[in-house]
Amino acid sequence: MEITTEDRGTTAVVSLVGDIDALTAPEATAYLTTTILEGWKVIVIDLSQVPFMSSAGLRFLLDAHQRSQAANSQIILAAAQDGVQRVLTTSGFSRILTIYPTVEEALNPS
Amino acid sequence: MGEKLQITLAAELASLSTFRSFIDEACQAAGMDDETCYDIKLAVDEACTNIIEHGYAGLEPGSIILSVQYGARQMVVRITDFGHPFEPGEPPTPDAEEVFESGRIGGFGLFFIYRSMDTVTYETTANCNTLTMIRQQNRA
Repeated sequence: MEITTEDRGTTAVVSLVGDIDALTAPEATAYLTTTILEGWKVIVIDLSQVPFMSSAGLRFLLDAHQRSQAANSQIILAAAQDGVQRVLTTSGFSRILTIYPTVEEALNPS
Repeated sequence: MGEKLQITLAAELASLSTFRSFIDEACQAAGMDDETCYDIKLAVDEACTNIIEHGYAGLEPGSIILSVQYGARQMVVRITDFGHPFEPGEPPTPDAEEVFESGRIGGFGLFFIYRSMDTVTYETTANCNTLTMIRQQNRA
């Protein structure tokens, strides 16, 4: 999995590239753990290049959400592809996590 | 019924992406739509993850045989392993609010297996365990 961070002022845009499964989720968790400790006010997780996510991805998102709350930062999800969005919806995670259709909308919520 | 394809890989997490690619190719050959294909990949991924993390726990590394048979807008998926029996009984629907309140997560893997597939059956013999899952295309 390839993961990059873009500095947008007080917001970090973390872009994940590749599937999130039981093999790659720990890598994503470790990366987000470090990013949250850097003190960003908001972290946007760009899912536009994640074609597949299993329940291991839900575990990763729960962990990121909890760590961000403890650090007084906010996690926002953006640009989930159709299949990943259905995982978020059917699991109920979409009722709790903040999700925007695009990264730009996540950065500039109306 | 129809074409049959099979692949055998080591029961390790690094095999998951290859199993998903195998399903992708089978779905493409079968003319399945993207949503159906994602659902089948999700069920296969979750089932194989359970086998790797639980079925072979404490045992020498083994293998997983994934076979698919398709035709007439239907795909039959069989997953065979040689580890501990681990019957994926249908779980209650996980409560996301409870998950975020407690910080504990579990049951989503089995939830996705049953939600993604139309029928799920499990058989254990003296030698192996076989999970059979069937999915119709465009079941809505």
